[in-house]
Parts: sequence; structure tokens; C-alpha cells
Amino acid sequence: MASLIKLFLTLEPSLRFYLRSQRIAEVHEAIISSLIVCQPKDPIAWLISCLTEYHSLPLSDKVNLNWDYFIPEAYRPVNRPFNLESSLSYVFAVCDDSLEPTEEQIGIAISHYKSHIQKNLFSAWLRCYLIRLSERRWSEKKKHAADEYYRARYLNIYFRQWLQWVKDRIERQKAAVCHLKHCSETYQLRIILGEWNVVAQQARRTRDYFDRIERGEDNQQNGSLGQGEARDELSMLNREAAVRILAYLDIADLARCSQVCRNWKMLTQSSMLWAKLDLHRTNKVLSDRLAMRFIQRARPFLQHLNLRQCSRIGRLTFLGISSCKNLQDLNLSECPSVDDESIKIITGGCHILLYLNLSHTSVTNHSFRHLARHCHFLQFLSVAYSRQFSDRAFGYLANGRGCRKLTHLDISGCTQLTPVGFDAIADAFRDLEILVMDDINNLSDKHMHNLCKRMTHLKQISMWSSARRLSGYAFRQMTSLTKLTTVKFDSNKLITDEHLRLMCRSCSEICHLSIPDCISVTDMCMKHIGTLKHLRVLNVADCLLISDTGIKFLTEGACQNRLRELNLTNCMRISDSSITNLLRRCKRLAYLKLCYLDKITENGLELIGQMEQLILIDLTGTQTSDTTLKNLGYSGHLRSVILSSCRKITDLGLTKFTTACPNLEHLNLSFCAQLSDNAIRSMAFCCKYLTTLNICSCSLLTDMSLQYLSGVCKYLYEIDISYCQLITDKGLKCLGENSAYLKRVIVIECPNISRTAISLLLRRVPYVQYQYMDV
Amino acid sequence: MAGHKIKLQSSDGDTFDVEVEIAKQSATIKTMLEDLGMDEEEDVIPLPNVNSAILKKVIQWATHHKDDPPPPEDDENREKNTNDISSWDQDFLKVDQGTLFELILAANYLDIKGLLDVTCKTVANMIKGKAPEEIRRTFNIKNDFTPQEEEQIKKENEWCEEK
Repeated sequence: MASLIKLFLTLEPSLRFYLRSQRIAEVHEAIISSLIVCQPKDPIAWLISCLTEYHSLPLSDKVNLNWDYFIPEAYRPVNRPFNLESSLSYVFAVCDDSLEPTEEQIGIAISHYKSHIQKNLFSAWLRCYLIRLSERRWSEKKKHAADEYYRARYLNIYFRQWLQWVKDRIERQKAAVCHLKHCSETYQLRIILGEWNVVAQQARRTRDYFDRIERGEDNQQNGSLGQGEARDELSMLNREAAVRILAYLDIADLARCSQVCRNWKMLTQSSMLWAKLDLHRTNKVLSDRLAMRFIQRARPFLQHLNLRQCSRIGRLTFLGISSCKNLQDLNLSECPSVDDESIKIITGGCHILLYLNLSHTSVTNHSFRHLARHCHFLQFLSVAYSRQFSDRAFGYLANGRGCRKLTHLDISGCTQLTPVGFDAIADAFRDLEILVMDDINNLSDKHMHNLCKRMTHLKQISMWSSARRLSGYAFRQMTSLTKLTTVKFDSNKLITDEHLRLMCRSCSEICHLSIPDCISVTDMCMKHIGTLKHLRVLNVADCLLISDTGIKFLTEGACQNRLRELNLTNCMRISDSSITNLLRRCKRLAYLKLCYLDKITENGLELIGQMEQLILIDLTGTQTSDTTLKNLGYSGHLRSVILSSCRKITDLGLTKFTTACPNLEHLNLSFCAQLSDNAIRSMAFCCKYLTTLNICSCSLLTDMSLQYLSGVCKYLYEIDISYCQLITDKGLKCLGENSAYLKRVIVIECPNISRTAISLLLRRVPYVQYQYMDV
Repeated sequence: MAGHKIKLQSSDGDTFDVEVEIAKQSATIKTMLEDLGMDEEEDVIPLPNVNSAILKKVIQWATHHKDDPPPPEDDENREKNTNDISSWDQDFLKVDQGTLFELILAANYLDIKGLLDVTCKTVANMIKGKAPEEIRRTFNIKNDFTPQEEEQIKKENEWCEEK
């Protein structure tokens, strides 16, 4: 049967259609099954009979041909022996013509197919699209969720911070409230206690007073500072004022203050007090270790250190100094232990040193090398009277960065320097402003040559006792220093009016000019000096050729407005007309010295009293008489009067004078031999603020004078009673006991004063100068 | 040069007429006048931290010192007088400690450098050279160190007794 099926399957549809429409398969099945069942002897005749029977059937019966049609009923089996249906019907069913699609059906099928495809495609696309859409949505949701999460966390953080902050603020407010409460309670308590204290002390005072009265003591007032009547005021002051007070004490006193009470101890440790250490006053007790201890204690804030004359310091101190990084100011003058090694140690540590004083020490060139290497900010350097270094020292300072910011240099007494050294100085310090060259007696023109050319910023130059050898050349060079404001030199015979003219013309800023003992200058120079608009101080002492004409030129010049100090000592030719001119023109004159000008008569001297602003007048060796003194008193401003060797003065004059000048503080009456105790009495009566008195050689004075003085002049600081023959121990004792501020006493050649009196005096007064005449 | 006068009012309500130049020694008052542009004639400057008695003394000091001369510059033979409180000031400051300290506070508040310096120096002079016990007696201070502390501090500072 398989081959049959195969055959049918391979047939064309039209053939299959034919087979199907003629129902060949059923016929075939019926015939074969009848053959199988009936098994006739003549199959062919059977076949022909069956077929003719079938052929005669009507069409409707042909269609419904069963398989058992040709089998007589008696032999009909139940089961089909030969089931073709199942195998072939499938085949035939397929090629049923009714199943053969018509065009319409094909069309429908095609459209179905199309729509089916479309649907599939569409659905596939739709699926795909939906998938993507859902993916996108999902990713968006994810993102959204992530954002939300992020925001939430973000807010959380800030919220937490804010919460923390709010909590802190609340805490602080609570603390502040507590503190304020505490403060107000303390304040109230303080007020209450203060009041109670006042009442209690008043009661105590009254009780003491009554006790004293009962005991019969007289009510003496020892000063206004009664003991035990004050509160601890220093601790009540604000810290700033208390530290200010302690700043005036030296280290020994500070040490004692720290032992007083806890509050004072705390105040003495204030850093303001230790920024400036002045160990100069304790130089004798200051050992190396002790100095180092102080320096160590003040190490972070120490800025100024004064170790002048401290003879016992050594390496430890210098090591301590080098650890003070803020040190700006160091004074090591006259310390014998300062040498190159110590400078090396110090400069190694203190790099911001601004002020360094090494005068009178034994530093050599190496120290300067260390200075040049480390201390670039140095502004003030003093190596006065230190003779161990040479010219090369300044050569070192000129190298590299060196100390180029130096503005003040003091090389007084350094006679070992040669012009080479001075050239090196001029090279190194272009910005120098102040140069002090006192006591260099081999100073010559060669030294000055380069100095004047290079140091154009020089403002102050001082050459006391050094200018002797300078010639006109040097002074002409000095005219190139146009910024000079202070010029000081003395004893030069070669300077003439012409040089001064040049100098005054180019250095118009000069305000301080001191040229004593330059005997070649004449009145013409005063004319040139008068052109200096800013002149405040003029010293032409011992310039013998100056006369009234010169002063006239001076007072008519531009400097008349500002001239404050004038020294005309020994200018012998000056007479009354100068005083008139000075009075008329120089209104601001405050310090006037007219020593030994005996050409000035009383008329001139009287005019001095009319100088309104005069504070100091020196009339040593002039013709001052009583009338002069009377008129001198008109200017009530006088504080300092020197009447030494004015032999014409008597008690009357002095009395009149002192009555008019109650503010007198310094008085020199030495060699005024006519004065007696009455003069001193009236003077003491009027001038209770006297601090310095010189009555040397006033031989008529006795102990009474000293008694008058000590009773009234409580502020007497210094007194000179040399050569006063009549003064005895009694007077000295009076003086010693009653003068609380007396610090200096000079008692040379007083034959009636014994050694015991002097030694008694020494217990109270720190400085007593005495000398015994060997009888 | 007659100056304008201004009025200073103390904490007790008393007013004092003072010349402007004298009042300007106080940096506080000077700043008040310059910065606030006060009309010098009319307004009253209140000083709530200073009472009448102290203000009177301050005005007295300022009046005396209004024309203080600067020191001489030609200093060849100028003696170094370390007792640099002038005698008038010393006389002026002969008051009880309470007033002295009140003057310090007033000078601090009014920012008058000269008065502050001189009062602080006076108090410093009262401390100078005294042993701790004497200082305590002068200022009536209670010693609040324990004996051990006192011993220790004394030992630390015994170098100053060598003088």
C-alpha cells in the first residue's frame, strides 16, 4: 500500500482530482473487500458483475458507495478487511475538488495570508517596540528612582548638618545664658562685697583713730598713703593698665612682684613685659646661667635685649639669644665676652635683627662675615671704639646681599680704618642715613672722598673731634650730600665762609648745625646760614670772629621762624644789639647760651626776660647783676638757669628772680660768692619744684641753707656743694634725711664734713662724689 | 589764641567748660570731635566712665601741660636725669591710692598718653625697690600662696636678693 500512496501523492492535482471525483478509491475498496470476503471462483466474472451493477446505479447512490456494497449481507464482516479509507482518504481528501481553492478562495487566502503576515510582522514589531518601550520606561523609572534617592540622600546630609548646627547653637546659647547669669551674679556679688568692704574699712579707720586719740599720739600724716587703707587696686585695673605699670620696673623688681600674690605673678608673666629685656641694670649680679634662663623664658616674644656691660655672660647666653627668633634689637656693648664665636652663634639664630650694638667689644673681621651672611635686615649697627677689626670687614658687608638696608652706622673711635675701609663703607651702604664718626682723629679728605660721592641719602653726619684734619676739599665734597639735615663737627680751622655758603646752598634741609670751635668762620657765614629755612639748632660756640653783624644776618634770614636753640658761648664780639635782634625776630627761641659774653651789658641781658618761649638760659661769666635778674624773671617759662660765675649777683637779685619764676627746676649758682643763706631761703620758698642745684663755691652758705632746702624742695635730685667751707655734718644730715629723691651729691673739698657723715649719706644716696683735703 | 570751649560731662552729671586745645590732649575726645564733627560750641561730650572729682583733676593736669616744650636737641652736656616725672606732676599725684588708680583708669579711657605714663610711673616707683612683703603692705594685698609655693617662688627668685 505504501507505494500506492506514494503514487497518488506524486500525481498531479488534476489527476488526483479526476480520481477523487470518480470515486475510484471507494470503488476499488468495495471491489477488493468483496473479493476478499466472498472469494469467488471466478474473480473476473465477479468483477464484471459488480462493475455492471455499479454502473447501473444512479448517481446519488454512486456517491454513497459503501465498502460492503458488493458483499452479500450474509457474509458482511464486522471489520473492514481492507481499509483503504484511512490511508487513501487522506490523500483523496486533499485533492477533493471541493477543497481545491477557487480564485476567490485563493484571494481570500492570500489576503488572509497577507494579513496574517502583517499581523505577525506587526505583532513582532509591536512586541519589539513594546519591549523597547518598556525597557525605556523601566530605565527611566530607574533613573527617576535614582534621582529621587540621590536627592533624598543629599537632603539628608544637609539636613543632618543643619540639625547639628542647630543643636550646637542651642548648646552655645545655653552656655552663653549660663555664663551671663554667672557674670551678672559675680558682678552683683562684687558690688555687694565692695560696699561691705568700704563700710568695714571706714569703721576700722574710725576705730583706729579713736584708739590713737586715747593713746595720746598726735595725728601725724606720713604722706597720703596710709598703710592698709587701700584695696588691691592693681588687680582691679584692667590687665592692660596693670601691665603698663609693671613695664616700668626692671627685672629684679619684677621678680619681687611675682612673689606678692597670685594675680601679680600672673601679670608678671605677661608677654608684653618680656618683649623688652633690659638686663643692663643688673649687670653685676647677672650670671651666664641666669641670663640664659631669662632669655629662654621670653624666647618667643623677646624683641629687645639690652646686655650692656654684663660682664659675666658667656656662651650659654649667646646660645639662648640665638634661639630667640623674634629678636630685633640687641645691645652687647661693653661685654668683654663678645667675640667672633658668639657673633656666629647669635647671627645663626636671629635673622631679623634690626639693631645691633657692638661698641667697645673685641669683634674682628669674621664677625662681619657672619653678619653679612645672616642679618640682611640690619638697620642700625654700632661698632664704636671696637678696634679689633679692619677695612676688610666692610668689604664683607658689601658682598652679596650683605647688610644693605643699613641706615645708621656708628664707627666712632675706629681709628684703625683707612680710606679703603671708608670706600668699602660707601660701597656697601648706599642707603645710609645716619653716620656717626666721632673721635676718629686721623680722618682726612681721602676718607671723605668716596663717602660724599656715593652716600647721597645721608641725613645726619657727626664728626666730633674728628674734623680737625679735614680741608676745604672735604667740605666741598659734602655739598653733594643734598639731603643732610644734621651736621655736627668741631675744631676745624680750615673751613671758611665760602664752604659754608656752598653747603647751605646745596643742603637746604639742614635743621641742626653745630660747628663749635671753627675759628675761621666770620659773619658772612651767618648770612649763608640764615638762608636755611628749616634751621632749628645752631651751635657756633668758640667761633670767635662772629659778631653782632653776623647775628643780624642770622635773624634777618629765613631761619628766624624756626630757630629754637642757639649757642653763642665765647663769641666775644657779641653785644646788646644781638640780643635786641634775637628778641625781635626769633620768637621761638627756647634754649640760649651766652656764656662768657662780657660785652653784653645789663641792658641787653634785661631784654632776655622778654623772650616768651625761653626755657633755658646760660649766663655763665656774663655781667649779670641784680637788676638783670629782676627783669629775667618776667618770662615765667624759665625752667633752667645757669648763673655760674656771675659775681655781681646778690641776695636781692636772686630773691626777686625766684619770686617771679616759680617753675624753676635747674639752678646753677656756682661761684656766685656774694650769695648768703637768705637768698637760698627765698629761693627754696618760691621754687619748690627744684630738682638740680649747684652752689659750688658759694662760700657764705651755711647749714641753714641746706635746712631750708631740705624742708621745702622735696624733689631735689642732685646737689653740688663743693668748696662750701661753712657746711658741716649737720647740714648734710638734714639733706640726707629729708630729701626722698636725692640721688647725686657732690661734696668736693668741704673741710668741715667728716667721713662718718659721708658714709651715713651713702646709705641713702646712691652717688656721692667726695674728696678730702689732707689737713 | 583764645580757644573755643567745649563742655565735658562726667558720670555724675556735672559739666565742665574746657578749652578745645586742652581737651584735645585726650585722643578719645579729639577723635570724637573730629570724626563726629561736633559743633564745638553747643554740644556736651558725655564721659560716662569718669566721675566729677577725677575729671576735675584730669582737666587740671591737662591745663598745666598744654604747652609742654619739647626737649633740647643739642645734647652735648645734657645730664641723664632718670627721675623723669616733673616735680609739678609729683606734687599733683600726691593723692591716695584709690584716686591714683582712678586717674590711671580715666587716662586709659580718655587716652591721654602723658597722664597715663606719669601715673603708671608713679605707681611703678611705689613698687620699685621694695621687698614683696612691703609691696603687700603698701597695696594691702593678701598673700594667697601656699607656704610651699611661696618657698618655691622665693628660691627661683633669690638671685635678685644678691644686690
